[in-house]
Amino acid sequence: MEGIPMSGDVSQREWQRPEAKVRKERIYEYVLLGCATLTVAITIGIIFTLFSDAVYFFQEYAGLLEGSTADAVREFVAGKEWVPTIEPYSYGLLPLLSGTIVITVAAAAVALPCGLGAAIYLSEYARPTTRAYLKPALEVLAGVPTIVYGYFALAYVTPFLDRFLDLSTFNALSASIMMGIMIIPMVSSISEDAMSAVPDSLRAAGYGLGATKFDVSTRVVVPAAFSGIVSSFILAFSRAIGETMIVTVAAGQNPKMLILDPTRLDENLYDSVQTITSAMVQAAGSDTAGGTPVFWSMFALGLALFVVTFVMNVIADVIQRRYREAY
Amino acid sequence: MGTKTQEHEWVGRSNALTKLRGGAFKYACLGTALFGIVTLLVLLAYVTLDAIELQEAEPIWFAILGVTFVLPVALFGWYVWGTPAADVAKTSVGGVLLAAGLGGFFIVAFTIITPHVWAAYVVFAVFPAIAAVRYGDRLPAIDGSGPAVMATVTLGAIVATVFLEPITAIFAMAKPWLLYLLTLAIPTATALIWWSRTREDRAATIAAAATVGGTIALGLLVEVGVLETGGAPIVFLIGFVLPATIVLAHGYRRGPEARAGLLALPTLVGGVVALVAVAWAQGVPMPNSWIRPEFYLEGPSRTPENAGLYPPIVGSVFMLIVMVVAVFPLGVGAAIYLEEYAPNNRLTRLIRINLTNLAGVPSVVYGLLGLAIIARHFGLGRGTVITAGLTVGLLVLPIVIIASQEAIRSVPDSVREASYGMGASRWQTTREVVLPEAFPGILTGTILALGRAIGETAPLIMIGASTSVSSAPTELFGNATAMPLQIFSWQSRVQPDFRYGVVAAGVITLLVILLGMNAAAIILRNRLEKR
Amino acid sequence: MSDNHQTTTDAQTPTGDDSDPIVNVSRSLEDLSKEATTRTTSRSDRTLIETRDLDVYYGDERAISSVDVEIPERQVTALIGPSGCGKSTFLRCINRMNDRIDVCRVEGQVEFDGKNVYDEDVDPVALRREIGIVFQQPNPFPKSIYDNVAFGLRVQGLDDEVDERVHRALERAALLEEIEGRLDESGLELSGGQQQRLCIARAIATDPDVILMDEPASALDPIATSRIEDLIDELSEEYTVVIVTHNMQQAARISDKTAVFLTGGELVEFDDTDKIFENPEHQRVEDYITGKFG
Repeated sequence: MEGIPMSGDVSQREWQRPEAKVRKERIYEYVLLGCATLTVAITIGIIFTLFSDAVYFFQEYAGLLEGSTADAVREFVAGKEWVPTIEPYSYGLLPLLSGTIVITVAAAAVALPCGLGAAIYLSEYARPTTRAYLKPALEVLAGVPTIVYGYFALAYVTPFLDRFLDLSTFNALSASIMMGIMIIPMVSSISEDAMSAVPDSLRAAGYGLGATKFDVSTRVVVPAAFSGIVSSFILAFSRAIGETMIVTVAAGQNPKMLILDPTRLDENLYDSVQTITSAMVQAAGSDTAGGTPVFWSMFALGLALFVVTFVMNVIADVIQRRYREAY
Repeated sequence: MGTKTQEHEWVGRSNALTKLRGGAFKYACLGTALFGIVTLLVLLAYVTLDAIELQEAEPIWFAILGVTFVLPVALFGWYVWGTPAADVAKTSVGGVLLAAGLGGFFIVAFTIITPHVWAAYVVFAVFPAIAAVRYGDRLPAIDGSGPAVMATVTLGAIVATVFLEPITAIFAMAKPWLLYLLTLAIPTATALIWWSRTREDRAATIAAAATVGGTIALGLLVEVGVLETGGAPIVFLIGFVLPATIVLAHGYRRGPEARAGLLALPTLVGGVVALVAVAWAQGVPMPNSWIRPEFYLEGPSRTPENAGLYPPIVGSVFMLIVMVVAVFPLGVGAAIYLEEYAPNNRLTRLIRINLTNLAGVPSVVYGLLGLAIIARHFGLGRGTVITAGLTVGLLVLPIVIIASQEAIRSVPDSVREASYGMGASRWQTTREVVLPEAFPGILTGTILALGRAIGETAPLIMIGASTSVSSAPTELFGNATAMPLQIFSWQSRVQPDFRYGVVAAGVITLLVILLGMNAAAIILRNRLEKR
Repeated sequence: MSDNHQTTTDAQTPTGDDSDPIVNVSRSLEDLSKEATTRTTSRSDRTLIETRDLDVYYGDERAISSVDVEIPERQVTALIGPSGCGKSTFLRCINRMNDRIDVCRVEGQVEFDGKNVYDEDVDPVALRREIGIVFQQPNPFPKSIYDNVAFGLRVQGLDDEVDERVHRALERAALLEEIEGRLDESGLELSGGQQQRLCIARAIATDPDVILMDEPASALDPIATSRIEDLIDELSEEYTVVIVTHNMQQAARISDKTAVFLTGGELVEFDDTDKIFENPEHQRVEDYITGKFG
């Protein structure tokens, strides 16, 4: 190397790498870009599949109803009967939506307070060592397969609760409790992130005014982290709506409308219900050949589910972005 | 802060009511945090008891258990508590158990992939690729080893696939144990030594030697006729010995004081052996556990006594293999693009936003995607192993990508700067600097994602996987079955022996496998990142 | 071109100052100018790097404003100035390391050997093979010492005589003796000063023309610093060195030319180091150098 003279001849320098190398690396880049773009293709695939097959379902359903496709859509969205396999068929979404709402609201009744309490404890009270164990332990709750939660609800929670309440074998209550436990970490981790993002100066200001830790937690930290907490709630709801196996196993397959009488609201919980997701599982199991309206109804249900969860995820995302900008 | 006569309001503690309220709130928060965890633990305790039917064991059996197992283990624990030996005890027991799990995985994986098929792909695709990595640069016509490796792998895989039958016929003439020795044991051992060559790690050398030596020893036993065919023991040994030896050797090297921890394993094993021996000698029956060897060797059955989990285990492992092959490269590639290449433009933003949304799409919807696109449009068939693997693979792809992104992001920018500053290109920087550093994180994230995949049920039902498959799948287009699917199908049976016996055993099995995968991921990350 | 290579010897006062790393707290112009005259260098007056009207923006913020500098070949050019004055940004513009920052925008010209490095047909990767860089924090790769040094050779395709080149680079970086026989150990196991010399070895292994150094000694203790300074002095016989430093004594000790940047990314004065430290033209520069400002 020392033998190489430093000539400094302008023309001798290579301002480019060898063409072959550059081309080779460009190929790699395109391959990697392809991998990344595939994720977009998946979304397009999902949307395309759901829409085209849902449209096919509506056409089929229109044939059954002897009406137009628009009638079929109207009947699907506003129909109060879900009778997918026995004639006369009826594909009304409302009973399934009722079941989904019952389960989701009851699950939220478990998950929101528990998740929020856990988040406050982790962010404001827990010592680092406690935190180091508690946080991963909470995450474990989200890692247990949903089929296992479903089994717990059916085989252990229902018989246990049946001692105190009049429950049917399949019921919304135990499915909701298990679902609630499953989504606790969803609430707690996102809420805790939001609370940890609250600047310490705000807390110091609170203490400076003579506030107790309780005051600071409930009146300073929680309000300051409010948008993050709301966003975690919405994500948890969205997750509960899309959850399948717990409700399929433990909540049964009884599509029924919501009881809206305020004095009998709790009765919604004791009986078997059917959610959108468990109706999809039932449809998948009832037509193994594929071709009847039941089969295609899965896609209409899937579309409804996708739209609802997608909108909720987007809302949560928007809210979350906003709170990040706050500090 | 004492005062003599005057009473100051700020002296002493705040008033009792405020204090009570604060304390109540704190413990309420702790209570809510613990509610889910405690509930889960209680349920797990119930299902464990049901699975091993402990409540029906005789009192005398518990006495024997206490004397032969609990007492020695407790004494040992008390002896090593708080010493370095405790750490060694934990890691050696955990490591050896995980190694046994890996050995079990190898057994199942190599019943799906026969030694001949394995050897065909290794000889035609992997060996030439290694040669290309080693010598690709020296070929004048090829610029760098990258294209050479890609070409040889692709070509080799195609050749092996097209000529699979004649090739396997030729390999069938060799003894399986010899094939395993040449295409599995020796390559793995060599790779380990090569990988740890700059680390002065004697454990790696010992482990490599033990693996090769053990394989040869088992092979000789087959030759002499002591062992029948030797396939399962050999692959178990290859999967088990290597990691177990490394863990034990590292424990041994922690010094004489810590070395006592290595006795944990003999204590546990000895305890179990003593328990069985004493119980048998005294004529005390063991508890009628549902978790027993036959449970893992038999297929589903109408009678709870004969029901087993073998086909679903094979199905799950088969799906895992499909997922790893299909999803791992895709996910890592996408993560590399997003972190190292992506310019700040509209497409990149679209990909990023889309990724967060994909992670929130319900799993049943992925099932519909698999049913409509993979099964129907691509014609891979409803309920086949490949459709199931790809569908669940797509489901966990966003998780793999996000975890890999995080791992790549955690590589300090200073090493990238150093690399670019020396005239390395983007690809060279990625391959030489970023990926080696990010690898532990990527691996951990992928294992965790696969753990998630293994427990998924809904997409399998949606793609039309039958819940009553009674034989293990043997090919990609065979009928898929999986552990969670089998649990789903069993728990609809109302007989208590199914609901509180067979299903409980299945649930425990699934959870233990998940626990093992998660533990392995965390241990791998800690070990690799320490270096 | 060789007639441009003209050797001048500065007036010498050979003292032990070079190896005395202790940083004076109070400093006077005389002290500094004394240090500035203790260097011996073989000089070439050929300009290797020339910037014309260089502006650099981070988003809307201007980090460098219309800088014109002529950096001579095989000399040490120091860039000094208060923190945030844009001297590092300027340095990183020379081998286009700033390309990695999305919001960074460069206007004007950086001519290296008569060619604007921001021309369309210049590949920054190829450019960096001619202009190496050493950073403030030692940043060896988490690989063996050998692999660290061989890295540049491998990525640049200089595959022949790798062993020889690695050893020579380590020797020139004055590291070989200390680590003889430990080439297989991780680069991260070296001390901070050794790591930085490893980074320098890594940079010179591929034999670039220019070595950019971004405060290479600021993270090191005085003894390690003085070793790096000696090394820079030696390297300037073969390489063109551009060094950013916030340490006035260091600039005075090791550089032939000094550029003084003041706030706002403005180049206030650029001249021979002796001149800058003995008799600066601008009052602001004198104030900065004597510690009245900055």
